[in-house]
Amino acid sequence: MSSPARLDALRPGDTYGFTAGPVTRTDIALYAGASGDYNGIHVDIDFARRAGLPDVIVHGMYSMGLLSRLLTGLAPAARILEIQSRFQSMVAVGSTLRCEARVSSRTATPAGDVVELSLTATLPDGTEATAGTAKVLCPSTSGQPGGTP
Amino acid sequence: MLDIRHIGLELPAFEVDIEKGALLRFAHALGETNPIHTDEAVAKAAGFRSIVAMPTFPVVAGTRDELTWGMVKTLGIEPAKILHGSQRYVWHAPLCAGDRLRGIKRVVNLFQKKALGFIETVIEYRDPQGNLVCEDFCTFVVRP
Repeated sequence: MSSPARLDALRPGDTYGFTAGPVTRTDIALYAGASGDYNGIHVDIDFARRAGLPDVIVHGMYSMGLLSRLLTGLAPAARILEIQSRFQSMVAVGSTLRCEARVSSRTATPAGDVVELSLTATLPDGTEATAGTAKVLCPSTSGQPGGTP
Repeated sequence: MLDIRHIGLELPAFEVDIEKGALLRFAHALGETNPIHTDEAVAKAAGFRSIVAMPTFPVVAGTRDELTWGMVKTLGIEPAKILHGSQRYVWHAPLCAGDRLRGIKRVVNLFQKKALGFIETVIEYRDPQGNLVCEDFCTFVVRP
């Protein structure tokens, strides 16, 4: 992300994002190691071919992890309440993913404003590979760090 | 066909130590740039116990052979037919390096939609005092 989106300034309809990739085999290997998910369809081309795929595919959870950076990249730091993703389309090696957040609502609560977002990771041809939603808390200025209860 | 008698199936509880190295590797693999996820001094200065787990980090804790394959075996499903349909994390408190969690996974729903089977599970992660820290909701799709 060039400059972090300002959580305190986000209003319904606002969008922000970044482009990630192209996702390399090294990225897949690093994510497999970091997540513990060594499913052959992600790390073993022979296994992937036996499963009927032309090549290994990127972990769905990798694209969800990229989408989570739309939340962790906010300034000042948000307290993340919820993130959800649907894995809609396979992501091939070498894909570029446009990761975008759109603010759907902002609601005042006693703990601070809850900002709801819709999240999408989109392939260059316009296919939404992963789509989801998130809720973050914009802590009241007097609150504990990170809004910890 | 999924056997709905397995709704409510509970897998054995497990303990997870949240290791700093594991958090760093995960943040690095995703290209995270917020230093509260990578730099202990920054995290502490921001008021956290240590570096903070990223929002999808519990996938590391929940990716355990005995949970995934234990469940799949009990349900009588061929592993190669399973796709990860959706995933949701609900956070109740921040998770930091050095923390210890206890997880319990349950099958909350099993249903069939045309040819596809759906397995919905939840893992509840609690701290040693019993407070809920995070819930992991997962939907697997089973191809015919």
